[in-house]
Amino acid sequence: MRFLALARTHFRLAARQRALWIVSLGLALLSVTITVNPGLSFETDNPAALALTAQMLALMPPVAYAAAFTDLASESERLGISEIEASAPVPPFELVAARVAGALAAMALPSVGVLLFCAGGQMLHGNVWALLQAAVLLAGVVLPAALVAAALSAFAGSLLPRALARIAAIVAWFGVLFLGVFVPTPTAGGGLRVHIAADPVAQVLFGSTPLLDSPESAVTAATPLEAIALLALKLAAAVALLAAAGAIARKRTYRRR
Amino acid sequence: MFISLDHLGKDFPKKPCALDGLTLDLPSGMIGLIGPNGAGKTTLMRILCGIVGPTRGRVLVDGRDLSEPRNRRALKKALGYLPQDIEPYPNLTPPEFLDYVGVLKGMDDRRARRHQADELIDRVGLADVRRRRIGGFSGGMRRRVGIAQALMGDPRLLVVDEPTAGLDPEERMRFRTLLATLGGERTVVLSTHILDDVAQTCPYVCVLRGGRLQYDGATAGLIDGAHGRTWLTPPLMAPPAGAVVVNAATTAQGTRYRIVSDAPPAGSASVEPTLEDGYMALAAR
Repeated sequence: MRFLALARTHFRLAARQRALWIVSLGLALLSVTITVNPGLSFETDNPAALALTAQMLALMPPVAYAAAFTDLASESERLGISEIEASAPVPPFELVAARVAGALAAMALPSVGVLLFCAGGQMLHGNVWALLQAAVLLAGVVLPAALVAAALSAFAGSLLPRALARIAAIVAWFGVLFLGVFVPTPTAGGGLRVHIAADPVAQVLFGSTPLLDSPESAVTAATPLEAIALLALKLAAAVALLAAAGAIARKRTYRRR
Repeated sequence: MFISLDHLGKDFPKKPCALDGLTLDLPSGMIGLIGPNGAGKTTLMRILCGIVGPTRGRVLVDGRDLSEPRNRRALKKALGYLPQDIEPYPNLTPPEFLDYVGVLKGMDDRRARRHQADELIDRVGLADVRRRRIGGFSGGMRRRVGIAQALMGDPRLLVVDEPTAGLDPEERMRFRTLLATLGGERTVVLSTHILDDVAQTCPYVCVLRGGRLQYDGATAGLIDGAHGRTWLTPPLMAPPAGAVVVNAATTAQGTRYRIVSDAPPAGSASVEPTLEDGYMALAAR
């Protein structure tokens, strides 16, 4: 109960950043329009199309999260509220978790809405498991990506002034994409084409091809173990970045006072 | 609530010792904590609130050692804290922020939280702006939200750090009146540079200097230290040598100084000391 009540306040705080919320909604809507399947994902009963939408939602709206969460770790320190929180009988990890969960829930709401809309469309077209599949994609693909982007943003925000931190976090998010998702592949003509690698969870559970825009790709599909390992790595990286952001913000605040 | 400090010390890396062997018993009621900048007041309050731990010594609250996590948790449930620099979340309204603080303090009943938040908002005079976001408030109004949050959960120990800094005279009077009504069965630790606030509200005072305890006891006792040593000089061209100047007033004939001295200039008139005189007399020792 306490966790939910704390998260509700942070949900409210994030939801009131209207400009970023609108950008997030725009990017989420844009994600639906990107497809390599025939028709949009809510116009078919094909789970692979739903998985593709989820993967697009894991690529594009996080750009907005990278800009939105620069204050996640530093705001309460800067405002002095961290002192009140530290004098309260609530464990620090519960506070951080509530802050992240609340803020992320608000910012990810457009993505959740879009995915549920697509799932609803698929159900109307005969995919009875679409809602459950959307929930799995949300937990395994969309939210982990959002969490990593938010953690990058919080980390940048603890080190840099807000405007610079937003730019740095967006650049870092694209860095993450180029490290793991965008795959440069030589073409027959001697050039280079950047493909988008499918999320291992989507590959394992929904049969997405390893390279989303190249179904004929001969690259080996991910194994369940690799999918779980990558998910764990994302969560660990996010937790480490959030912990570091909190520690840096606290240190900077105490040095200033 | 009875608080006892036992040889309390706190060191920070590459900085002078913040607290040095503080041994002190704090009674219940209003306690003033005064001293110059860097005396260790804020560090002491952070230790009392369980935000930082001491490097040496211990704090006992009602006989329970705060080094035990269980005791620290119990204290935090009964604690209200107003830090020196606090800006409530600007995107929240006062009731929303107080609700958040109520949750932090372990008030599980949502209805009770809302009821108390409403009461406190009325008490600090923010009823008219309760639906507005805090970001649009003046400094004094934000301070009042800070004061209200410290009172959420009806704490038995209230620690307030520079609560009237930046408030206009009317706000200060209002807050002083509010503080005076809070003493009762609570322990209220009030740290401030405004000695008049302590003189008006605190029967007990502690003076810290360089992390050490310089005085603890009745506020009247500190004032008594300047009794018979506080003078108002005749108009002079320069402050009298060897005297501690508390105040100065310019007149057409020269400047009249309020001083604390054992050997006042000729023509000086003895005056009733205030807490300011007592504090300056102590500082000059």
